[in-house]
Formats: sequence, C-alpha cells, structure tokens
Amino acid sequence: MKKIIAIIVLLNGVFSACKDNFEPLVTSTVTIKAKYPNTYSEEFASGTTITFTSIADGSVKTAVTSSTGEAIFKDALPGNYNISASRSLTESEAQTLTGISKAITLNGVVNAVAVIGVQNPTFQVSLQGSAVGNLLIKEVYYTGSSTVSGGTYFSDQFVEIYNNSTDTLYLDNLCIADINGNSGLINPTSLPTPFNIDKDNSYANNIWRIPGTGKQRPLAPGKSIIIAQDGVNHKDASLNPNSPVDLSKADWETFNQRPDNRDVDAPDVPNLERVYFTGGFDWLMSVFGPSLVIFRADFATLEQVPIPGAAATIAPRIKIPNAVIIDGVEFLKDGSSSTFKRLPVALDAGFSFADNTYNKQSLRRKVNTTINGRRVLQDNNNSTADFEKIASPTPRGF
Amino acid sequence: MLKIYSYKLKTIIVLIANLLAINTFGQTLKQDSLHLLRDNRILNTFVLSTNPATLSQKIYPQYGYVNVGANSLIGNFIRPMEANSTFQINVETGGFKVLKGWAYNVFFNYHKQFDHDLAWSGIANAYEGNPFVWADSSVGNWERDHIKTSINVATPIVFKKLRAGLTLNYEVGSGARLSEPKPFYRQRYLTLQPGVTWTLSQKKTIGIGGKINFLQEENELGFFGNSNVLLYRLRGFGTFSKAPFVSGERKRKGADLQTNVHYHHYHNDYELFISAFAAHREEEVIEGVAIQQPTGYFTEIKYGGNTVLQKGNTQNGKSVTIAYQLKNGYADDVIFRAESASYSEHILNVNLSVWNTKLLKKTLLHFTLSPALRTTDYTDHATLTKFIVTNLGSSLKVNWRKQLLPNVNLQLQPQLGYFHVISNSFINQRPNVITQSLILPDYNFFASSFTQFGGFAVLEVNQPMAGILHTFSFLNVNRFVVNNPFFSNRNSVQINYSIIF
Repeated sequence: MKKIIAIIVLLNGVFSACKDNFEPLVTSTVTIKAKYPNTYSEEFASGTTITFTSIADGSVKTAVTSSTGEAIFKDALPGNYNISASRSLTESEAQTLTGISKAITLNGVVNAVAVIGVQNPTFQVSLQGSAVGNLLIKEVYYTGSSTVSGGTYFSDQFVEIYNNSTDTLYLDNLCIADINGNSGLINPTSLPTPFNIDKDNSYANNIWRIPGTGKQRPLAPGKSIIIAQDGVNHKDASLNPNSPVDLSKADWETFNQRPDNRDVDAPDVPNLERVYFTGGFDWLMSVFGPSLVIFRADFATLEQVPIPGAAATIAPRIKIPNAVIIDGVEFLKDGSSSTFKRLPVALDAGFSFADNTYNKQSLRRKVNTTINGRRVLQDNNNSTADFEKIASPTPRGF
Repeated sequence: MLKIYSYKLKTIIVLIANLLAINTFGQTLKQDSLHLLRDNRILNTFVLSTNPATLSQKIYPQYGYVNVGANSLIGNFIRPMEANSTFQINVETGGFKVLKGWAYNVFFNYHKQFDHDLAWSGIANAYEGNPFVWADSSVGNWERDHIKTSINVATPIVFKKLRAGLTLNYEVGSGARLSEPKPFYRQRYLTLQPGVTWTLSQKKTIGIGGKINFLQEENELGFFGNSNVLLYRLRGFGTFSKAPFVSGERKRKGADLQTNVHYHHYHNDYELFISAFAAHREEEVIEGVAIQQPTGYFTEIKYGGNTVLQKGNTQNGKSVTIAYQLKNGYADDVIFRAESASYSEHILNVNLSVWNTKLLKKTLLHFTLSPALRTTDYTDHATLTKFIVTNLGSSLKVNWRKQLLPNVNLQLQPQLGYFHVISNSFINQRPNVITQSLILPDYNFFASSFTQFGGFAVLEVNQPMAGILHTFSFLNVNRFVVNNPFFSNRNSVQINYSIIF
C-alpha cells in the first residue's frame, strides 16, 4: 500500500511539472487622453465621449473626459481594443478654440491598442473634424436581394445624394467613388486595406462623375438624386420580383460600356461618366459593405498609386485628398469589422453595417430635424451615429 | 449526461455478452454463473483495474457476439450545449478467445447518432472538459457516425509470476450540423494501454498499468453555407471572443497520460481489491490552416481510486465498493497570456450490495444501494464567474431473476433514486451574453435536485442445440427535476438484441 501511495505522489510531481501555466490573470487601468488638433487654442479636450471597445468580445465601455481631457477605464482585461472619441463643439466653443464661429463635430479613432495585464497604459486619441452641412450621401442600398429561386441579385444597388443645405447646390462634375479595401473578414485571409495608414487621403477603386458645365444640374434644398447600378425596374418578372426597388426613374446609372455588352444600358436613365474603373462588368459595390465618397477634383491632378504588396498587373488606385471630399460614408461587414475601416477618421469616425448580404436591408441617414418641411439630416461625420439600418430601401423617401 | 447513458449502454452490452457467452460455451448450461459478473457477485478485475494483463488471470469462456441496439434520449433536463433529443443506433460485434494461454478480447462498434435541437455547440462535444469551444447561437440538428475498435491481448504467466497485457483502442468519427453555417468535425482517438501484473503469493497480486491516448479533432465551419456566422470562440466559462466568419478551421490535439496500480487479495472468506490512478491531459486548440494560430491550452489532472471488499460467496454475500475521483482542469488563454478558467470536480461513489440466491429455484434477489456525493466547481477569472454545487443522493436497485423455463430466463431490475443539492452558489460580476446563455443555465442544471427511477428487463432464450443464446433487453431511466422551473425531465430508453455464439 505504501508503494502505491509513493507511486501516486511521484506521478503527481511528474504531472505537475509538465504543466506550463501562464501567469494569473491581471486587469489594467487604462487612461485615454483626448487631444484637440494642433491649431486649436487648447491641447486636451474635456467633455469628449470616449468609447472603449474590446475587439475580442465586442463589449463596449464609454466615459467622458475630465477637465484634463482624461477618461479612465478600470479593470480592463488583457487584449486588443479600439478607441473612438467624439466631441461636438457649439458655435461659441468653436469660436473660443478656433476663432471661427461654426459648429463642428470632432472625431478620433485609435484601433487595436494592446492592453497587457501588468501595465496601466495611457493612450492618446487625436481629434479631427470638418464643418457640418452640404451635400450628403443620404442612403446606400448595397446588400442586394435574393431571387425567387434562392439565388443572389445585386443589380438593384443604388446611392442617394441629398442636399442638406439651405441653398440650391449644383451637381455638375460631382464625382462618386468607392474606396479600396475589404469590408471585413470575408474569409480567414482577408486583410484590411494597406492604405489605411494614410490619414489624409482615400484611395478609390472606381470613379464616376455627373456631367455638366457648372450650372446644369441644380439640386434644391431637401431634394436628392438616385444613382443606380442599373436604371431599370428590378421588380420586373424578367429580373427579380423579389427586388425591393424600381429604379427606372433613377436620375443616373453607372453604365459600364464593354465590348461584350455585359452591362446593358437603360435607355431612359442618363449615364454617369466613367472616369476610372477597375471593376468587372458593372459598378458593383461590395454587398458586404462599401465605403463611398463624393468629391470634386480634376481627375488629371489625382495621383495613381499601386496597391502596396499587390501584383504589378493590378491597376493602381486613385488617391483622393481629404480636402476635396464633400462627404464620405463607411459600411463594413458587421460590428466586429472595425479594423477594416477604409476612410480616414477625419471624414468618418465610425461605420455602420447590415445584418447580412442579400437581405434587402438599406443604410439610411437619420433625420436630425425638420424645418418647414425640409428634413435636415444628421451629419456628425460618423456613420455609426449618423446612419440607421432599415428593412427595405427608400429611394427619395424616408 | 449522454456519455453516462452511453457508458451504461456499453457496459450492459459487454456484460451481457460476457455473461451469456460463459453459459453458452460451458459444456453444461450454468445460468447462475452466467450472471455473476453482471450482478457484481464476483470481482471483475479487468474492469476495476483497466489493466489488460488481468485478462488472462481468470478463466473466461470463449465466445463471440453480435449486438444491435437503439437508444433514445429526450427531455429538457440537459446542459445548454446538449441536444434536446437524441436517437442512437449501435451495431457491435466482438468476442473473447484464448490461444495457447494468450487471451484476446476484441470488439468492433459502429455508432450512428441523430441529435435534434442542439444549440450553441459547433464542435464534436462541448463538454469534454476543454473550454476552448466554437459556438454560434443557432439551434440545429446533427448527424454523427463513429467507428470504434478495441483489441486487448494478455500473455500467459511467465517467470511463474508475471503477466503482461496491451490494449489498443482506435476510434474515428465525423459529424455535421445540417443547418448553416454547417459546422463539421472529424475526430480520432488512438489509445495504447499496456499493463503488467505480478503474483506476490498464491492469493495476492499487484499490477501496474499505463495509458496514452492521442486525440485529434478537426473542425470546419461555413464551407458549405451561404450565410455568414457570428462565431463565438469560448475561452473559458464566460470568456469569449466573437467575430463574423464566412469559413474557418479549428484543430484540437493533445494527449492523455494515465497510470494505475492495483492490489488484489483473495481469501477464502473475503476478497479485497484496491486500485488508484493518476492522469494528465494536455490539449492545444489551433485555428487556421495556412497560418495556424494557437488560441488556448487546456490541462486536466485526475486522481482517483477504488476499494472493493467482498464477503461471502456467489450465492449469499455482500460487498462494499468505494470509488473516488478528483478532477482539476485549467484553461490557459493565449489572448490573456494567463489562466482564464478552471474547474474541479470531486466524485465519491459508494456501492453497498447484498445478495441471496436460491439455486434450486433458480432465483436471485439482489439489493444495491449506491449513495453518491459530487461537488462541481467552475471558475472564470475574466468574467468573475464562479459556481459551486454539491449534490448528495442515492439510488436503490433491486435485481430479481427467475428461470421461467429450462431455456428461458427473465431478469427484472427496478431502480429508484433521489439526488439532492445540498449547497450551491453562483456569482457573476461581469455578465455577458455567454454567461447568461450558457454558464447560468449550466449552473441551473447542476443545481437541480432530481428523482430517478426506471428499470432494466432482460429476456434470455437459449438454443442449446444450435449453441446460440438470444437476449432481448430493455432499459428505461427517467429523471424528474423537483426544484427548478427551468427543467422538467430527461428520459432514456434503450433496446438491445444480442446473439451470443
């Protein structure tokens, strides 16, 4: 019996020695400092809402910075986190900080910061922003629909552009572009766009332009235009009766003329000018979520940049400076895809997403207020806050 | 719980096969001796020690058998990652043979299983201990196919004192959920189990054995689906990562080492058997194929043993069996670089048995009282979750057998039990979707007192001229929860038909 006990004790020692234990779990206190742009009269931003999101499980904590611009998050578990910050300045606050009396929303993002248990780290998030108002992307229907036979249908995609100002604006030479990069973890090897290190520019796959000489395409306040992938009635029995939209009355379509005529021109809807194109037979926005910008620029002045790491046969992308972009929106595959953001934070501090592909859902900008029947849409340069997910698209409607 | 039922089913099948084969292959029909092992009226050192060298210590009859059976489980008294209902089909064949003193025991088993309404789990078995589990919130139906083979060989005695034995087990299986994202698994177990016994004297034997089990499970998800899945990668008992997946691969691989010792003393008036074991299991979970990323390491250490004291003889006797097992498991998380979760389990089982036979009338009356004490302790360090449940209870079985006709035997074994939760506590200071959806319901499962009743019936029909014995068995066990509105019951029904030749 003693021998048996001795053997058990010996085995216990052997087995215990085999175990390669990690250290006990330790949490951290994380301090996040919000910083104004360098041109502002103050360095750190009090009253800034900080969102601290665990990449692992998606859990979100929020806090507002103190008078020293600091927000403190206690008991943070080891792991990687995304930090976002938002600060809306009133006219008087903007006057104090910048000398310009114009309301503005500042945003900042720092992605994938590492919190290691033995440290109590401090991170700094720099706020950036631009003035509110102007032309806006009101709605993007990109998810597509399923067919009667259970197939997929994406030709009914459209983008709606809205005049959110109090003045008539002219759309002549307005360009629309989709930005390079995956929408999320489409497959296990999907990577974020390599351009995301450039915070001052966006890199377009394709660019389309509204033709005009300057004053030919007026858009009244509170009015919008529809840009369809294909300007036809998609509900037609020969197309997809399950489609939620009739785009035969769209203002524009993106006709991609090809030798094989795979993209059919809808005769009743005028075509946008195809300025630059790297896609397939049509302007297919990613059904997982596109990133779009509207801007004005002389295309000849825009730099063409190869995709880092891509083969030489891959067409370059078009570098669009933030300064010429009027509005940008970011839609990703889902709520966990933040690291795949393509637009600089200064243009869009967040992102929105649909529940799935081919489910008819559309992403529409929220209405901030209504003045004399004119809807003023919300524009915080943050798609997370500005857009809502709706079950079915509402071209020209709400 | 499914494993417990499966284990019971397997044990019953093997025992029936062994016992009835003994009768069949005896030159004279010895129905009473056929049932000795099944009734635990003689010590089965092979089962108690798991040492294959003990196979050739006793003179077993040589036999073969074929068994077909079906098993149904239904009811909501389940853990949250178990199927609401399960239907199983088993086909098994095997036998025992002695050639020139070498003992061979083999079997081949095919197992088909249909699971209905299985939620969360996206792997083969979420409750094997390793907490690094793939899960999604969908509920679906699974189909599984498994094949298991076992070869046990024991040498004759050499050097007048030594016997050696080796067990080789191989199990391979696959299964998939029929609904999206259509998770799929392939699983393989390979076990080598050597052992030796040493005869100290005519009535005393000691033995030492070992076991090494290599396991591998490969998982795929999304490859045959049309939709994306929000995949929860569980990393503890509440800790998780979640991410959308179109498709993905996972692999679990590891090894399980075990050693055991036993001492067996046979006396004219009593028989004493003492055994102990220690086991160590290491597993690694990896995701990805081209770029493999370890996600967690799991370690489990088990100690245990049993003591059996038996007095009297096979006609009139009594026995006491005390079995104890301590299990400790740890999850080391790669993201935290720290231990994310742990669990421990203490199980104490006692069997008090008394029997009396009336040989002339071919009847048996056998009572077995089986008190049990079990403590379960789960801790998750990140979500500050901890639950401890202690359960005390007992079952009583009455075994009655009668020879109805010269070649027909009937056995009835009603059972009744009650298991009471004597202490329980649950703390969750950082609740999240997983602690609420999986851990709290799991705690509720453990913290439920329940009654258990059912019965086992066997009809044996002998064809002595053909050398064949037919057995028809029926087992029904019901558990009814008495103190928890979340659950009602769980019912198990097993039907088997065996031919022993």
